[in-house]
Amino acid sequence: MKKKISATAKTAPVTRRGFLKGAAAGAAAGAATLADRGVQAEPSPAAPPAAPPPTRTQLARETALPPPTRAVDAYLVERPGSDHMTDVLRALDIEYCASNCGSSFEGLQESIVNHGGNRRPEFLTCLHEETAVGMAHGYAKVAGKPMMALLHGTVGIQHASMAIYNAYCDRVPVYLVAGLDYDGPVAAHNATDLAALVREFVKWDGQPASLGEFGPSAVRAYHVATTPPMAPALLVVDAKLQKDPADGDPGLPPVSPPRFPSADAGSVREIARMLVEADSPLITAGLAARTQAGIDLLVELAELLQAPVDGGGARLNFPSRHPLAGNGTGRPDLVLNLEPAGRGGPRVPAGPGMRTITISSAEFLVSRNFSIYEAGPGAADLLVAADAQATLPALIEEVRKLVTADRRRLFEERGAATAAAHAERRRRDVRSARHGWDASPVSLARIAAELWPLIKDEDWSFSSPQGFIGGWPGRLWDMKRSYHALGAQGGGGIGYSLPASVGAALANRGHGRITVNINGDGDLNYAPGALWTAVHHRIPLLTVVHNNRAYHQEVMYLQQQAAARNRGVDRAAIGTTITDPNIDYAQMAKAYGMYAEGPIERPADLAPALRRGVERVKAGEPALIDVVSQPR
Amino acid sequence: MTTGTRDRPHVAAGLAGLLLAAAATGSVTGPGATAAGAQDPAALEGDAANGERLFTDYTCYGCHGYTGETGRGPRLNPPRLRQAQFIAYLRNPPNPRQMPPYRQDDVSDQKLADIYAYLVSLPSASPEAEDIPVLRDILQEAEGSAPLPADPR
Repeated sequence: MKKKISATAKTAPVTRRGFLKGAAAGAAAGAATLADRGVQAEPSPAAPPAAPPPTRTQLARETALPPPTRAVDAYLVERPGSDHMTDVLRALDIEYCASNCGSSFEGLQESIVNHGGNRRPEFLTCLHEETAVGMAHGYAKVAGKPMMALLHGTVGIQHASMAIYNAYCDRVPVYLVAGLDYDGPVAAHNATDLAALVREFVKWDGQPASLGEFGPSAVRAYHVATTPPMAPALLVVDAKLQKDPADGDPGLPPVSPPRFPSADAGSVREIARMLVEADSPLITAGLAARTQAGIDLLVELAELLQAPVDGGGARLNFPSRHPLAGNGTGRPDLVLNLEPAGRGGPRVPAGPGMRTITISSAEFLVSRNFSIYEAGPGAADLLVAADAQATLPALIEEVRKLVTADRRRLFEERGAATAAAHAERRRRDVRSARHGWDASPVSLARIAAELWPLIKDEDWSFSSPQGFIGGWPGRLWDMKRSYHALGAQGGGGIGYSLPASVGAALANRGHGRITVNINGDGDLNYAPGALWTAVHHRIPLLTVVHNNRAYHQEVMYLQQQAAARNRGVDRAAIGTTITDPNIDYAQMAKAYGMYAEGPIERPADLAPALRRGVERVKAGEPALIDVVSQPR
Repeated sequence: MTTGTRDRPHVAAGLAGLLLAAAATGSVTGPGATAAGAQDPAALEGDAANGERLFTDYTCYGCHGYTGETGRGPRLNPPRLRQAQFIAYLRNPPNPRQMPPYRQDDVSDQKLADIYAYLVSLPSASPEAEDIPVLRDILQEAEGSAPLPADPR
């Protein structure tokens, strides 16, 4: 009997309408069978007298479904439009859809989980839209392709807006889809122009007017988001398009990503000539390396020129222990800025005798309202609007043509001096980690140093920013793969580390890679629900809480203000600290179902706790270790 | 100070910034600086316990850490200025954007003397790097890195 049912299901898929009809018939048949056999529960001796059993007619009246009516036929939908949308998303190879559920996209959500079988994309349950987009942000930095974040009308978009802005500033693609339901239960969730809420910091938005337009719009959004300068793109999808039956087969649109914009040949030749002629060039990289290929290309250029590379802190652009890493010796006479990342990126102040070249795709990313790209390395003598990574192959070849034997000798001397400076700085960095080693609260250097032996022989990824933790991972760890340091928020919006780390860990999971997140306590409190998402979806991630019980940067700023005004220097803690009561982050994580330890206060307790956390992560689950830490 | 977790507000740019600026200019460790033991006979008598409280209230720890050994600011543990130098430095730090000045009408000499006494009382929580196995290993990794690769072409 079972075999027969299976065979039928394989050859003739059960439609929703057919399933309901079958279920009604089955229920009626089941009820009749039970009544015919006279099956009833044996009354307990202690129980009160049972009511007389229902008659066959009564049973049928109570359990059988009414026969299908015209109203039901009108209600049921075959081949809803959102099935086609799901097919298009799969054609775009979108693996995941992170979302906090909402009625404006219930049609699409149903298609993803039923029509698509909850695979490509798989629905990820998030407890806040900022988490959904933050996860997509971190995921893209590892996976090299966008995750979908599905948002609910005006409210979902506005909840997500900070995370969208971060991704925009960080030049990371996020595939945003928002539901819009004019017939929905809450009018305030709709807008005449929904995308206007975030239009200034998404690269493109579209609202297909028909199901036939959905595919081309979806492909357009994908191409725009994943072409440098990469950034989020937003597709607004009317609920009616999702729910109405498809009128014919719209077909899948062709997916043919454009090539990336590299600099023109004349500019490449000019830059190469300036680099070869310079006596002490410096290369700075903000958001230059999008992938491992970008790091490898930058290494090739640097070694060809024997020029130092300041990789900045926005993401890993250059191996941390490469002998040419750093600022070299002395003042440069030429600075080549590759994709400056604003104030967070490397900056060399201009001065007499120093020329600057900037290659930046941000010139193509124009916002009428935000000035995030005006705070880079300053005006350049030669500004080239192009993608740096896409330009590097041609630039390397051009430099190679121009290098003479004389220049090569000079380059080698320069390289040796740069390597010596690098080695000296690295020794100094490692030695300085000893300061406060045995102090309580625990020093940040010790947190990074104790983590290193636990991960260095594994495939690992560091997912959180380093600005608030003294840059210790970059100073102590051997970072050389693109996923070894995923960098910062982009827009400086706090609340990024945890969601982005969960997303990054999801992308790393498929590679069996350990993901480590050193998460500030202030940051953690923005979207702690991401802890639950990590547990729910079995995403292995080690979160170490840098628990200094403050928004510490603001503590210092407020203290400076008070001192500048010569008053109240003992009041900088007001409004800037997170004490009274102290927050127990281990208990918080446990409430979300996560393995957790802490607060760790004694430095001697740190390494064993971290080891247990790493073991949990290696076993495939997330873990959190709360460490009460020095402020910086 | 090397034991016990601080369960208190964090604020610290003052002393922290002061020492940070001092380190940048070399003034804290420059000529004339002496160990804390060699004090001017006219030095104020400091109350280390009160100094610990002030170190927290003025958020000195913010830039110098709770033991005066970590953070973005210069190391305060052990202090390398005499008390009078220390007080003068806090009144007029060379770079007030890094080390905020603490003026007489808000912070008395006695309070600064108390902070100084606290710093003098602090034991070191900073063993040598060679005595810390984890750091020793990282140092060896660094020394063992491959030499600068030559251009293969």
